Amino acid sequence: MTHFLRYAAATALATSAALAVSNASATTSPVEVVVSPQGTEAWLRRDSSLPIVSLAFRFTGGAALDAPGKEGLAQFMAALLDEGAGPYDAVAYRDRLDDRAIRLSFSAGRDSLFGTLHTLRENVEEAATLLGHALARPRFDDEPVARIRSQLEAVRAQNETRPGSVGRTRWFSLVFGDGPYGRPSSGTQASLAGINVEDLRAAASERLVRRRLVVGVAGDIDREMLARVLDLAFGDLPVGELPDEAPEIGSFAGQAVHVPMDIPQTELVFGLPGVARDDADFFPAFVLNSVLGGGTPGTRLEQEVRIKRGLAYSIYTYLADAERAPILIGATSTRDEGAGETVAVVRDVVRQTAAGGLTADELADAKLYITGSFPLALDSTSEIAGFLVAMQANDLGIDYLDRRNALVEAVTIEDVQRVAKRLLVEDAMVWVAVGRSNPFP
Amino acid sequence: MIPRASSATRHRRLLRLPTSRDPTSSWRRLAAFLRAVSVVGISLCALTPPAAAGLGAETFTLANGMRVVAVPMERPGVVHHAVYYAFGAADDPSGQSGIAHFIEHLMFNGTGTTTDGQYKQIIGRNGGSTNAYTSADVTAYYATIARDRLETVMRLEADRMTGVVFKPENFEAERQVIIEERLQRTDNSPSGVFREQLTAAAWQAHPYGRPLIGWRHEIEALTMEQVEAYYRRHYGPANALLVVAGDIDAESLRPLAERTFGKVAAGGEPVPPRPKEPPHRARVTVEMEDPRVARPRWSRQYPARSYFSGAAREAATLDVLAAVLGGASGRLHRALVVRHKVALAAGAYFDGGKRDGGFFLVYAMPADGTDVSEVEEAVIAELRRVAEEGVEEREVQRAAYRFAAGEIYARDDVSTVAEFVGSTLIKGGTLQDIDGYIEMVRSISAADVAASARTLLAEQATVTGILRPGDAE
Repeated sequence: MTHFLRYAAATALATSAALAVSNASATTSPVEVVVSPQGTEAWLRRDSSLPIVSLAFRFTGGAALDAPGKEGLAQFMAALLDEGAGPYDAVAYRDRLDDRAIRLSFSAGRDSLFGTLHTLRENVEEAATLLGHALARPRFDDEPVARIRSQLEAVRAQNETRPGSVGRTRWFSLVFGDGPYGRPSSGTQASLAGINVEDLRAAASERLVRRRLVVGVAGDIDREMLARVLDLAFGDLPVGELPDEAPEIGSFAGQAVHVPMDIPQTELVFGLPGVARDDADFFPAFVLNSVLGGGTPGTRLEQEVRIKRGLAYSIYTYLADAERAPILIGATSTRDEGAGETVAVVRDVVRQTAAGGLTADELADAKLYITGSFPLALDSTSEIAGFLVAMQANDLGIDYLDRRNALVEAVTIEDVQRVAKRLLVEDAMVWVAVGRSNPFP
Repeated sequence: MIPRASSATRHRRLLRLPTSRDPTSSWRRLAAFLRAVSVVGISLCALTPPAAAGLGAETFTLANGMRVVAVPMERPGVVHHAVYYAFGAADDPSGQSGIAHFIEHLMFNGTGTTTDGQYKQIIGRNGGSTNAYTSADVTAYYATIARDRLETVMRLEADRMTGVVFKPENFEAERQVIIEERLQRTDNSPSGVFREQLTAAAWQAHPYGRPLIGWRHEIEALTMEQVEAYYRRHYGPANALLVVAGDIDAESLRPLAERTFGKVAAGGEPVPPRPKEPPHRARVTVEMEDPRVARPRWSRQYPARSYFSGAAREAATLDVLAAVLGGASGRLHRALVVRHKVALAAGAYFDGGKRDGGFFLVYAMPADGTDVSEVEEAVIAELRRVAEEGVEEREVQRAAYRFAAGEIYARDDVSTVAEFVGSTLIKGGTLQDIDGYIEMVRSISAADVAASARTLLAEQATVTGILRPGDAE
């Protein structure tokens, strides 16, 4: 695999004593930039160990662009792109994909439309041609529009009975009100019913444009073939313009809301403002969250809620990748009679972490985990392609794979302390509980 | 064991239906592994299936009886390490369901040389990530880690094979965690409860009918002595299989294995034979209403032999049938959802990865204004069409292409490969089975597929599931 793997292993070793390094050396393949004849750029990491190609792409702008009353438009459009495009109706298009085992997916998040294409090398041109049709010439025929509309409505209705989904939706609406993040990205019954073909066409032509696009590719493909593939897939898209993404102001004032639902286990969702990806404090916050509830084995919350008290099977927090208003959000589920205690324990952990930061051991362990696991998490072409997209979307630089672990290493205990004070304002936390009884005092 | 933080992402085709998802497993089964996407279309030319070489796995046995497999892959610096034990939830003693899964939890709680939670911390400090699962047939523990840290994992894993220390306070806290896990996976969701009821109805004598996590009242009644006794009796090298995939070969793995697992004293009593399932003689229908169900769902499962119950070719044929019927280009979706608009979703699935038997499942979710009985008729009509009119040779060849492509895609990930090899061998499959699988799929004809549909339709003892919105009473 790569020099960044070796780099990461070496970094981790510097701080743990025990083991000897056997440097598994390999053909180093750096990230290359490929620009197609028509001007589409992609970042490529070549790997010829298997005859497969993974391509990932992202258009800036997601559900947060959906106008009031048209909530769900981004997801609706994304769901229809592979349901008929160019010369093929939905059935013919699907046959062409499945004939050659081409895996194509589109999904709409709050801030982006993300897609992946996974194919055998021998089918890469056909795959790119089909993707090109989907992006530049989606048909939005009546049959798939009606079918997907009823599927989305069924999923939406089912989600209204799922405690996790209800809790998250309510949390976002509490914090962001009627703003783009506050409205339901899967739509409402009325908005899904009201979205028409013109809306879908307008969204596709405005949002699927090259200025908003980044592309990452990994696998067995050379530069010349990739240049050709890029033009087949993206060459027919207009240049377009960047979306207007005004920052959103969340309201974090200690709200705590109980949503009654007759279920044996209460779902808790809680959160605070986070830090933006380009904030100078991003890495301290990342390390802090990792120890608080996000990733490092035996986080503080896991320790107190699960291991010591057996109150929950899972508890986690994460820094949400939200461009307009960064957030730190977490969730757990706990038996009815344990919910009040769980809320109190989480609040205590947040308060204590704000006051005391992390211990030197916790910081050291977290760095070892974060730096050591990084290359291991990027061990397949689809993961690498996706990560190359994230690097571009966040302006991290083409050498980020090499620099990333040093940025983690540079985090000091003082940095973490400062960020803990800044972020972990316990009485600002916004809480939602979904369950039988109200756990909030 | 350690749940993944899940984001709110959803897939539009994820209209969840009562399939047989193992509630406590986080892995992909053999059949799923090989199913390229899910289905095959009905058009165009059949392509030549891509050829993949054999996995090149090498195997040896340690002096204490433990089997070891190395799967060399071009993934420099990375290995996936997994230990499989030849027992799972279906081996829980009668009245003590949940015992295998309980032990899986306790394996992270410390031994004579590591304290509570240290296992994960040590792996984490070495950059690795680790987890475990309990399925009906297997209990497995795994980690992905840098090649130069492999021995650390091996030492820890060998240590906890026989070294777990049972402490009453840990035991009780873990019981609470497991009950929370059960609430989260099953009791809190109507489809979770329904799936458990359906499974219980599908097996009359065999313990596959019990929930993997255990019945709540039995989890509550388990004593530490019972759990410890089971662990002492069955955890040992004779019941264990080690698979390491990635930057490794047998020659370099052997000394590491001898230094770590090789030091564990021989032991590991085989689990007793399981009760055998008698022939079923009656149709069963399981019905449930719940106010939290937004839409009715219908499913029917047909008992079938599995890859491991002496019927590999038969099982592969059912996987091809599932590919012809299910998925976005399958016959059920095309007929019920696209053409006749009687269903919001429809598909087929074959559960062929269990040791003692499986089932073939068809399902549908009725559209607005359609009765459950109408979608049932429509699904059975499609199955009958396959049985009576056959399928096109091209559909079958396309399935083979997609299975073969799926096998190549799966090789992109060390954990998927290790899991495939480990879960196959521990259930009695062989490396030859794995390497010959695609060849076997290619030998299945359209006539074979039609014959398998006829066999299903002749089956009288089906299990039908109907989950509806409404009051629980």
